[in-house]
Amino acid sequence: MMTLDAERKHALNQVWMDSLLQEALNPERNREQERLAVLFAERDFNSKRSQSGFSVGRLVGRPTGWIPIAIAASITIVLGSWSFFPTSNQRAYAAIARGLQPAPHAREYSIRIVANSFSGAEVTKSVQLFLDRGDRFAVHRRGWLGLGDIWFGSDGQNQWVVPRLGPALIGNERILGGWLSKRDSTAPFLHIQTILKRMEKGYTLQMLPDANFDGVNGRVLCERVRGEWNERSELQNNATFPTDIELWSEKESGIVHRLVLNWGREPNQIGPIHWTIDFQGFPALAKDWFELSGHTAPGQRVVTIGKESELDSLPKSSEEAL
Amino acid sequence: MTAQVEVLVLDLPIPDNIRHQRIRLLASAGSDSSIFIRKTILDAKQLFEILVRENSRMLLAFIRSIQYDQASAEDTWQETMLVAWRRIDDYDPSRPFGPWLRGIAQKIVLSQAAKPSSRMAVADPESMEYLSQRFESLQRLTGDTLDEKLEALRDCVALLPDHERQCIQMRYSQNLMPAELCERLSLALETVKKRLVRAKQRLIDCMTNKLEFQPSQGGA
Repeated sequence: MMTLDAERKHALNQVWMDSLLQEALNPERNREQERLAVLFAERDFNSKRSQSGFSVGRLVGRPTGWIPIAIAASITIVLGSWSFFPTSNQRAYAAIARGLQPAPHAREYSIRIVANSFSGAEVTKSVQLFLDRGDRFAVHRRGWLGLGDIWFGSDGQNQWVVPRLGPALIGNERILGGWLSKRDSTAPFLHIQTILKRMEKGYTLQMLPDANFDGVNGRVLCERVRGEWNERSELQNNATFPTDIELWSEKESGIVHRLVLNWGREPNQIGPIHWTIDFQGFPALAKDWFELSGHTAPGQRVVTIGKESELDSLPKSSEEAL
Repeated sequence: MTAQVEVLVLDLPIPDNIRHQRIRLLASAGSDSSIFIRKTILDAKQLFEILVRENSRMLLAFIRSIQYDQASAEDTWQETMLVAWRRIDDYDPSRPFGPWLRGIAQKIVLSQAAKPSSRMAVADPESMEYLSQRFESLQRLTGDTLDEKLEALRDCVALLPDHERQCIQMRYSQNLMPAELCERLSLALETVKKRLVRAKQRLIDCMTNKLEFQPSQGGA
C-alpha cells in the first residue's frame, strides 16, 4: 500500500514529468534504433550459445562482452610465451618464434573480430590489447554504445578485471584466470592458446614470400607464415579451430604486425569468421597501466580472490557487467 | 487500437531454460500493448521483439526517472531487456509487459543503489512503484507508440504561458542546463529553477486532467 505523503508525490511527479519531457521534446529517435539493434544482436549471440549446449552457468549476463577479452587474453599469453614449435619446417617456426618474443617496449594491438550471429548477421567487435615484457598485459573493450569500459589484465603476478559495474577483482592466474576462462570455455574461439599450441600437431606450416605490410605505422617488410588445418592430423577436426592462420612479422625486428585467423565458416554458420590482430605501435603508457590500480575508479571496491569458493559470492551484477 | 492477443502458440528454441518447449498461451497482451495479433503463431524471438519495441522507450523513460546518470540508465535498460529475455518464461502473458519490465528494472536499480558510485534520483521501492504506475497510466492516452501518446504532453506544453514554455523548450529541446538558461535569459538561477518547477507542475496537472478523461485502452 502506498504511504507516500503529498510532498513526496509532488517530487516524484516532477521527476516523472522531467523524464516525459525528455522523451517528448528530445526523443533521440536515432539512438533508439541503435539501442535495439545492439540488444537483439546480443540476445541472438547469447541464445545461440545456450542452444549449442554451452555451459555458461549463472554467468550469462553479458557473455559477448567478455568473449573478446578472454580471447585477447589468450592471445596475449601466447604472444608472450611462444616456445612450442618443433624444429621441423624450421624457417617458418623460427619466424614465428622470433616475431612473438617479448619486445623491449610495450606494444599495442587492435583486434577486430567478425562473427556470424544467431540471426545470420555479421557482428563486428573491436578490442584493444596492450602487451608488455613478461606476462604483463591489458585488454580494453568499450561497453555498449560506448558506455562503460571493461578492462582485463595481468601485472605479471596477478590477473585482474575491472567490469563496467561492481567491484574490481584481482587474484592469481590459477584461480581468477581459471575462473574467467572457464566462464567462456563455451565459446569456440576461446581456445586460441590451445589452437596455436596445437599448430604443431594440427596445422601444416608454410613459409610464404616476404611482402610489404602497410600498417598504421607505415610500410614494413614482413616475413609471412601460413598455417593450414591438417585434415589428417591426430587432432579431431573441431569447429573451434581456425582453418588457417597467417602471421606477418617484421623481417628486421621480428615484431608481429598482423595475425589473421580464419574459420572458413559458411554465412549461416554461427561463430567466428575471422579475426585480424594488428600492431598499432609502441604507446607511451602510465606506469601503472598493467596494474589494477591504473584502471579502477576512485573509491571503487576491489575484491581479492584468494580461494576459488570466493568467486561464488561475487555480486551477480559485477559478473554480468563483464 | 484495441490490444488483444487471443492465442499465441510459442515454439521456443531459446533461451535454454525453456528450450524446445511448446507453450500454449491463452493470453491477453494487456493494456500496454497496441499490437493486434489474432491466432498468430510466433516464436519467442518474434514476440520478444514486438514487445521490446513497444515498451523500449517507456522503459528507458522510467529508468531515467530513477537514475540521474544517462549512461547508467542506458546500461540498466540493456540489462533489464537481457534479463527479460532470459526469463521470458516467467512472464505472465495475461498481464501487461511494461510493468513486468519495470519490475525487473527496479530490482536491478535497487541492487546498484548500495554502490557509492550510484547516482539515484529515486532509491526506495515504494517511490519506484509510484513512478511505475504513473508511467502505466500513460497507456490510457491515444496512440500506439509512446511518441504518439506524448502528443498530449506537447499539447500541454503549447498551452503554457510564454515565459514558462520558453524555459521548457530550451531546457529539453536544446538540452540546456538551468545554469545555461540563466545566461541565455538573463535571469537568476533561482528564478529559472522556480519557473521550471512551476511549468512542470502545470504540465503534470494538464496531463493528469487528460488521463482522467481518457477512456482506458485495451480490452484486457
